[in-house]
Amino acid sequence: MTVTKLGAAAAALAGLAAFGLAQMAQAFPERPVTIVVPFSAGGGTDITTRTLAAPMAEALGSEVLVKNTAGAGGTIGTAEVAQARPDGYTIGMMPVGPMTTQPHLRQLPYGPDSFDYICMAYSAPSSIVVRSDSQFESLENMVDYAKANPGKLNFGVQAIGSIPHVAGLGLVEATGIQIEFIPFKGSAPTFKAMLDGSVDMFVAHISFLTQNADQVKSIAMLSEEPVSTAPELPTAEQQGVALDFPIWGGLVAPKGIPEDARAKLETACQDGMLSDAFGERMGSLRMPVTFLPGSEFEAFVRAEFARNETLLKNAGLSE
Amino acid sequence: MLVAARANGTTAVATLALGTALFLFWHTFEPAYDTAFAAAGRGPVFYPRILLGIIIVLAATIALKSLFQTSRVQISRRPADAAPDRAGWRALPALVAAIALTAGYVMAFSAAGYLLSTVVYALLLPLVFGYRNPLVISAFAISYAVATWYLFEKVFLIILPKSPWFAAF
Amino acid sequence: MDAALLGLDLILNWQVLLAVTLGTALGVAVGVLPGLGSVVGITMVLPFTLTMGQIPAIALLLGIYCGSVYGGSITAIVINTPGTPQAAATALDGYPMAARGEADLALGWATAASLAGGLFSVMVLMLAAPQLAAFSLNFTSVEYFALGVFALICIAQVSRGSLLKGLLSGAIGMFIATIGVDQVTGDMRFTFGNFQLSAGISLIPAIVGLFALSEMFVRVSERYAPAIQTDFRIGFKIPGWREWRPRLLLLFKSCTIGSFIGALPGTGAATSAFISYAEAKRSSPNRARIGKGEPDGIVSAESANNAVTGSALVPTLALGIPGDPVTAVMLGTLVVQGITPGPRLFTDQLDIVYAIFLILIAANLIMFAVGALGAQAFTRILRVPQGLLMTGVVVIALLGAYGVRGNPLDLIIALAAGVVGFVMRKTGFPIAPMVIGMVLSPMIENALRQSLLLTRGDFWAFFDRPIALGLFVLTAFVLLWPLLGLAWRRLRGTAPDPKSQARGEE
Repeated sequence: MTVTKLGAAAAALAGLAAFGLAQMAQAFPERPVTIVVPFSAGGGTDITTRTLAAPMAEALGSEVLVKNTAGAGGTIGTAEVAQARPDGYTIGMMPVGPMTTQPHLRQLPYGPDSFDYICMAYSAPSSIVVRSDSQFESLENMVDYAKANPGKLNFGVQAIGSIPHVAGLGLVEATGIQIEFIPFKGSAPTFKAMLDGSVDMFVAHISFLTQNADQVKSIAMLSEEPVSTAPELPTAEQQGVALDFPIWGGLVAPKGIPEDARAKLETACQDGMLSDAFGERMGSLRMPVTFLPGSEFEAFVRAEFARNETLLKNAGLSE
Repeated sequence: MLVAARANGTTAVATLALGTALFLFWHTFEPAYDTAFAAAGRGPVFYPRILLGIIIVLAATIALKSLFQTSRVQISRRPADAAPDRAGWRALPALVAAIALTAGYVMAFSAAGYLLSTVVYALLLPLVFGYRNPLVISAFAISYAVATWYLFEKVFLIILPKSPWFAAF
Repeated sequence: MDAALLGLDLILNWQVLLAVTLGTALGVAVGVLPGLGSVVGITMVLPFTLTMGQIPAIALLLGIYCGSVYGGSITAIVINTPGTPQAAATALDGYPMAARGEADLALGWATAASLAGGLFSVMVLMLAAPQLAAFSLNFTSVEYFALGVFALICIAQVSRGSLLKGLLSGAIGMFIATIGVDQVTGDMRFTFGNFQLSAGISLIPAIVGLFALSEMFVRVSERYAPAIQTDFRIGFKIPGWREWRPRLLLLFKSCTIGSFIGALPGTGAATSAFISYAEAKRSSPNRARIGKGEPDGIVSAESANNAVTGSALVPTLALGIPGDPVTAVMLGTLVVQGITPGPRLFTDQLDIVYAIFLILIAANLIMFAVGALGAQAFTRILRVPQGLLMTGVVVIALLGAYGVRGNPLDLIIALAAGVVGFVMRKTGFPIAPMVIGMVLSPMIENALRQSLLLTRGDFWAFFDRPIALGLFVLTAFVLLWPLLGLAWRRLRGTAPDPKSQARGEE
């Protein structure tokens, strides 16, 4: 009896499978699109993605779901997207770390070639922050002090090989100062360590600077040009050190998705980013809205990938 | 009788822990762990080696102690456990079935999707416990699988693995 | 006083009251489900918090926060599977009590203790937030290391039966936590080239396996054993005053431990529950019965973990350092509305601060009501036929284990932990020390290596710091306590009486 039941079930399944295949021929999107976020719910990347998902769903005319696959600095979720079926229904919001620094730190089952690029969804400037009662008023102050006292300053790092860390390596390379990198687990413990005096500075996202305006100040924005949402803050470039380390992320799909699906997602991404809801959220954190289409985003990712490889190699972190 | 079984079990667990810890300790000397980076914070195996050392000492002590005690202690200090233990051997096939079933479920979870694998698992696992009411079991298996699927996928918004056969689940 | 009235005015409207009620109920629900915690609750309400008003959003989040910390204890008591890691210590006495048929009473103790802990910590937050925040800044990596080492004593205290077996279990737990990425150098450890394993072995799948799956296996293995006929009482029973009175000191001590540890960002409710439990086990007059279904065990663990909720807001509000995802999202909500956390919040925006206090009090009271009402349903679960009950528990537990990170490897980890837990229980190795080891190990290792980096490799510099030194001395003192007692009796010439000897063996 069980056998006949199983047989009937299998037949029903086969019928439904054929039905499913027939559906795929229709126009994209036929069913909900899932955006994989490689970090856990409630974090910055997650909230940005969820803010974007709603207006994107409206533009696409289909549900957009957010799935969190956290672990190993975002590489588990990124690998999940790289290995997903390339049908456009599984895409990922991939931040700078797992895309351009982690692959240099260890062997990973993906690289920049594993993806088709949809759009850049955010790019926020980072900044070297110190306590607001710190003796350092500018990058120059700090570099002078570090040169006079080599190896004395502690530089907090949210995670080894993260962009704030790579930015610190860039600072060392550009100025020749000696600083000690102290790794913590995430930005809250790093901030705590700066408040309790363990570390002297670290690199943070502009939204962090906005959130904690009472307790920290920026000595250098790490962007090429003055930041549109914070023009009063001097950049490193203006202080004679060329450092450009935005913290960005964008939508990517597994390599080989149909071009029409990619194009539709790209348009939806742009529409979503131009929506009021997204603009308001970004504005409240002083994050500029920076859309890039897929082709430009890909070129950008590859350039960052190469630059970070050099910095990590020179620091002896890359294998 | 029982104490012997207990002590033998203890010896086996401690010996297993000892063997694994010795292997891992040896493994920490692999060249892959020789990174010069962050020297003052010690290398990646600095702390694990301390723990493995502690595990080796503790496991060896427990193994030796239990071996030594097995030959001496004859009477059970915990008579209450005696009955379940003898009954335990009779339940061995059921236990193996429960573990195998769960292993199969874990594999099917991502391969065949949450909903289908759960229906099958929930149909079979109660049988291992000796629960044999086909109506109740099927009603339970289907309603429970669907209810939890709905709760997670639609209410908690946790996306669950789908089967290769259906778009929705 | 004006600020308090303004705060009251802020929360006395239907949106806020509805939000805090729904949030608390949702928090209890996600806390009850093994594997799921407050993060899932946040994921659900995030879209609403982005659009709803600031105070209602905070009410919703705080409700989830308080509810989820409490909710985990229900599952711990009823089915021996802590719903959240914070409730792992509650299972140690809650489940034996429920197995005796007294689930109603166990839930009563846990719920009342949670309420006491929660309200106590709100008081701490109201009276001493800026001072406590300033004090927490004395805790650098060195002090965290010392605190972690001190907390390890719990392993010894929680080891029933054999001390050596408990220590081994704890050491293995500590080792398991090192698998995956090394936080300090970024190297892979003990993954043997397996990419999925690079994410490490996280706590929740391990707890699901060690508790829920092993419980299922144990019950299968005992299916032919003569069933212990127990009449499972249904409902909810608050112990009377006569039961509470001898435990008031314990309650106060546990609340203090929880509030203090909660104010240190990054330590958390699980650690505080274990430390408080261990302290009860060391000093309670009923210590011989702790671990066998003694209310002291439930009270110490539950009041301490709920006392974390209020005091965790101290670093969140006064320093802008969130200790976990819930407080991080809450902070985000404040900031989006233009409120900056920091010491000045307590002088410039006092009405908001008072509104938060009042919401916390409301959340705790609602939590109590939800627990009391829900107990009717929860205790009834025990009467479901065993085969169906265990199937339901295992399915939902595995689902929770998967849901945390969405990684299929976590299911395999849970299964492996289930088999390991089963073998350990059958051979007399306690499993709670393994969980404690996993909770404490990352904090100890990271703090140790950060400290060594900060002191440029000089371990002896740790002892230059007074608080760290104090904690090290306290650790030594507690470890040597039994010996000191013995020496004291020898000195007075009284031989140890047989009663205390028996107690020492347990």
